[in-house]
Amino acid sequence: MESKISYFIILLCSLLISITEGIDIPEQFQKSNHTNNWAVLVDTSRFWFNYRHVANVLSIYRSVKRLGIPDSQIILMISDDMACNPRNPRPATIFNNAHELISVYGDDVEVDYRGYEVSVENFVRLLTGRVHPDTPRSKRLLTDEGSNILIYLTGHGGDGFLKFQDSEEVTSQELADALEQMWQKRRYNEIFFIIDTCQASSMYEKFYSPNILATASSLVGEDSLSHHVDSAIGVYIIDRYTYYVLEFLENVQPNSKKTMSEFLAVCPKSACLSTVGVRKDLFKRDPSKVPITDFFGSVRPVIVTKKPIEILETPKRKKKIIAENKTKAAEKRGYLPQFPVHLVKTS
Amino acid sequence: MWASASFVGVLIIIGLPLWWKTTEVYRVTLPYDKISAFDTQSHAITSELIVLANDAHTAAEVAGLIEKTFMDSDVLKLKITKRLLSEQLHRTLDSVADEQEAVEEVGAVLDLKEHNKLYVVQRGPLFKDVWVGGERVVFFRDAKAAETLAKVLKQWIYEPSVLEGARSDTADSTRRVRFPPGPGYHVVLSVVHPRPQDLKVEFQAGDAMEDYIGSSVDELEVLHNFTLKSQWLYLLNFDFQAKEVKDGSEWGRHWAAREEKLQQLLTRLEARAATHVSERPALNLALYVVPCDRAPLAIYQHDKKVSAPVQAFISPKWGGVVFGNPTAADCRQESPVWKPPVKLIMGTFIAQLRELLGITDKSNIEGAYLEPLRSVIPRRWEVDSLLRIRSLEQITSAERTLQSLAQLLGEISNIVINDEVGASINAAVEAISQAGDLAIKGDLVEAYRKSQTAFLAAETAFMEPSLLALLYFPDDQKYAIYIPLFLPIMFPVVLSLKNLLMWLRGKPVHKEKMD
Repeated sequence: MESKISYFIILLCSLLISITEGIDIPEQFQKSNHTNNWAVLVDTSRFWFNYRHVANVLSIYRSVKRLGIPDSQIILMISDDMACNPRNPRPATIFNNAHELISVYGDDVEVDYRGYEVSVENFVRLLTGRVHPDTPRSKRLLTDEGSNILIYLTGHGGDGFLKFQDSEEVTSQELADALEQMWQKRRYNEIFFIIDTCQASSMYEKFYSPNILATASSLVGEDSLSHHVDSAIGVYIIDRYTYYVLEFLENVQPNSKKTMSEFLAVCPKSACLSTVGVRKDLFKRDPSKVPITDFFGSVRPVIVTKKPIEILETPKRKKKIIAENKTKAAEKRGYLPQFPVHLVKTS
Repeated sequence: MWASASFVGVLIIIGLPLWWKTTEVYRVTLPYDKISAFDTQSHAITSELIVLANDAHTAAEVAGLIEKTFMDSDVLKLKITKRLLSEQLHRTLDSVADEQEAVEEVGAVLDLKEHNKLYVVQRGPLFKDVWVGGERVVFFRDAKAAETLAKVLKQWIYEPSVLEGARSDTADSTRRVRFPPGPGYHVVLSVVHPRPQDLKVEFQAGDAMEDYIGSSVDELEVLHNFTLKSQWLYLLNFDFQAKEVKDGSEWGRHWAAREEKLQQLLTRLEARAATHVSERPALNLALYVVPCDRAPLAIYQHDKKVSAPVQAFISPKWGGVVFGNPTAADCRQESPVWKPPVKLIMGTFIAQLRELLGITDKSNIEGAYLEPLRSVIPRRWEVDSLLRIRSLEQITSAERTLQSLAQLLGEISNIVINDEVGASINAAVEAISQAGDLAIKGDLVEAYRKSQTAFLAAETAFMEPSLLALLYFPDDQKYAIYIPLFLPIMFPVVLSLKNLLMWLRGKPVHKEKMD
């Protein structure tokens, strides 16, 4: 009898403990102290048969935009305009799937660098901030010490380089140096670097700046493969890695609790046919505790204004701008209506 | 043999040094020793404080306490002078009823226009211990008020903690809100009118901008240049996912928008506001006219309605949004017309603008009275405070930029430093030391100007487009070019070296032929 009671008590206690544990949620997410989010999305290859690279980059673009990064904080570099290519049977669309489930082109795509503007020089200039003084603000990466940046690159690459435009290439060393310069100028808080090319992991091996989490679609010596062909278009439509990334991101909502480690586990070898590479040694936080929205979403702190100033007198600006030398607006001229309906009285 | 010797001569004696010289990365000599000697934590600013009391004892006591309070802050050095009030001023101050009048009396005798000079004046008939207005004058009642006075100086006027935040490595809470330093800002007022067909809005945005914001920023022209612009944005729909809440107001309801939803409005606004057309950073001000069927809109913070005369919010380093709620009477007219309460709305914008430019909110202090701001112009001592913060911020930022540039040049060996970059680095180093000296001397306006020169020169040096030139040509790729180019020539030359040496020693080169 006694043993039964003690057994019961133990059971009760363990139940109680498990309940309290359930309520007392451990600090699951390490807090990030970034204050804004930026994304740099680059497709480096031209020509119709590289349709899939445009689909890749637009998939990510679509996701980050949906999750809240404004266009002004997304730098999109696309080397070729597939949506308006005469070979595209459905103009102004780019699909990630032969079933045409998601048009990644969407309604409004703001491309910042297009065509031959997508060059290694412009890319490195963009990252390091060493742009020509006349560059408009929308084409600059105006990040600061509180910015989390998502960098996504896709194109054709090899061991230690990524080809731009069939004519030049960025090496992994150059990229690492560019990131180091960003770090030195306090241009980022954390970077999440994704690259989808062949031998992709070779691109992040030379990184040496802190706070970078990097992932790649394939290891050195492996090819990154495309997902499937759309027979209407006649070319491969999207790469495997990005296809599964988009599939994953479509299920992420701005308030979702998915973590970076879930993102890094996307596309296992059975699906990708290549091994997804991850580099975490530069990153200080534990990816399993970092919410995915730290990089894909957008934080914008909001402070409610409660104390307006009660202005007593209507002010008048003393220093009026001296009579603007406005050119006199020319008298407006126009054509008479083709049919002088206004002269005919209608009842 | 002479032919072989001449080949060697050309290649090794002339060619090698020439190659070495021409492929050298061009670098102007930089003041590395000065840059590495920078200590961002060492900068301090001197400010002048003049205590005017009725008797020497009070003056000494008050000055002593203030001195003690600011003793431990190394970022701010106070130069305190004790003086006695003149008999006449003493009498006038005690007889004048109104504080504003008293300030005018003080202003008639002393120069209140000078930057970085604050007068602490004793005035018997005060209803509180300490009184602070818009001018560079602080009144205190008597020696017993000294403690409150010290608190006022510390928390409202000098704010050593904010100054420390300005020069520190990591941003403090105020630095996270205010815009980064710069020569100028582009202030844009956007009137967002989602449904122009349903409601007519009578609002002269351009005039309001000019008169209210214009008069306000004119007072800050010593700090930055401002360009003002206004625009209307129509048909910008945004779904706040607001919930209808019944209440006892004229409308009989209000719409509750959750605070978390507001940041998405900014994204929508940014897409349309096109503020990046300006080269300068844009400070966005938006008046969102709430459509009649969603009015009045209220912000809910933690499920509680925000009680404020105007519903508004700011986003740090971005700008502010004010919700314009038309009244029930406006909307129930035949053709709805809304005339916004301009003073109230612009007053909210001014409050937001102040915060975004770095003027902090002053919390209450027991026993001290801060004359509430009733006009658009900032208080004079707030401008001084801004000058101090910005000077420090710019000096330390310039130093950090130069330090990282110097470190970078050490790390990455093939960055070219051309004469222009060298000139801006030297200019920045020069301006930093001048600004530091001026700040210690207390010449605030000049120190600010110099610090800005330093800041801009350092930024241009770091961001100079030419710094990218050789980065393009990494070391490992050089071998790919040099080896095919030089190896075929070097090969026979190196091989002939042995023969040449033997020939030089006078030994016969071709023995067989000799016999």
